[in-house]
Amino acid sequence: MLITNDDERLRESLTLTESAIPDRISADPEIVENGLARLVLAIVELVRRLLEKQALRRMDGGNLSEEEIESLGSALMKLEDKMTELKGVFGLSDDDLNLSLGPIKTLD
Amino acid sequence: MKSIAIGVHLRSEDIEPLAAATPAGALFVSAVPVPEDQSLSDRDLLVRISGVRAALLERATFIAIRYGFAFRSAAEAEAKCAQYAAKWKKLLEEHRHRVELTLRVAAAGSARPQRRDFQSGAEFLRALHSSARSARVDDAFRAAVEELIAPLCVKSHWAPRDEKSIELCGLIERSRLPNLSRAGQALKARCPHVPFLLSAPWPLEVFTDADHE
Repeated sequence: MLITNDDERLRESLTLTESAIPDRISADPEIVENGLARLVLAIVELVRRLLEKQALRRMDGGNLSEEEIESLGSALMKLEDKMTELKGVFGLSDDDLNLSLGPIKTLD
Repeated sequence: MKSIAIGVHLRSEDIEPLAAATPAGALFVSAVPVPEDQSLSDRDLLVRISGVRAALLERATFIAIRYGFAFRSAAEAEAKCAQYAAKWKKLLEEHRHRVELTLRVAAAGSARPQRRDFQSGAEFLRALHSSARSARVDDAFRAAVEELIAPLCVKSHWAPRDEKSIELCGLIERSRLPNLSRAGQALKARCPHVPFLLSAPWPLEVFTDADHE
């Protein structure tokens, strides 16, 4: 059973990963690097967000020490810094890296 | 060959012949055998496992094992279950005629903290946590859910997902699924302004975790 009042958005989301992963990657040497970077960075972004969610769940548990909170937070900051740097290098925006995960939702 | 685990069940007859039943102490692990070099990300395999999972749930409620755990012997499967075997058996007996439902709702929340505004990792993580847990669902929608959906559940609770969505997790008697479907349609008619996604049935997962905590 699946009931939604937002059929259009659900239908769009069922087109898995379409927004981030192109059907074909152009063989033009000047374009191929950017296409591959977009694909790889979209996956890295997915992993980064999963790590963030895991950190938030650990915060929910309430049993992290101050040192662990600082360490986890610093790691997330560094990951975000690196992603910002790489997006800048390849001229990509957040929208370019937003994988659609079907009925689960998009990454944002 | 390796076996991709699907769930933990009370009885082998709830599994066979839809999937292979591997004894794990007093319980059974359902699994689909695949060649050793089979990629777990293969689309056809995902669709096949999903179909078996749904068929197994039609038969009897089980505790879901997240996709990705593969084992090569009964001992390995048993080791996976050993820590929680007694608890899982009790849960499976108690909830044999129940399934889970999930109602995902778009919510209003605060903006995500900007990395550039923080120097300390702890402050950044606390701000992320606070933002992600601040999602609030529309009052009228929440009231409608409490009136239409929650009373159908044996247990239910709201769980924040992120800064933009919140989820009602529920445990419901299988016999009440038709009522849930009608309640979902009523909710859709009453609250067209709040995007939501109601889905069921699902195997035990959220309430298994909650009972472990």
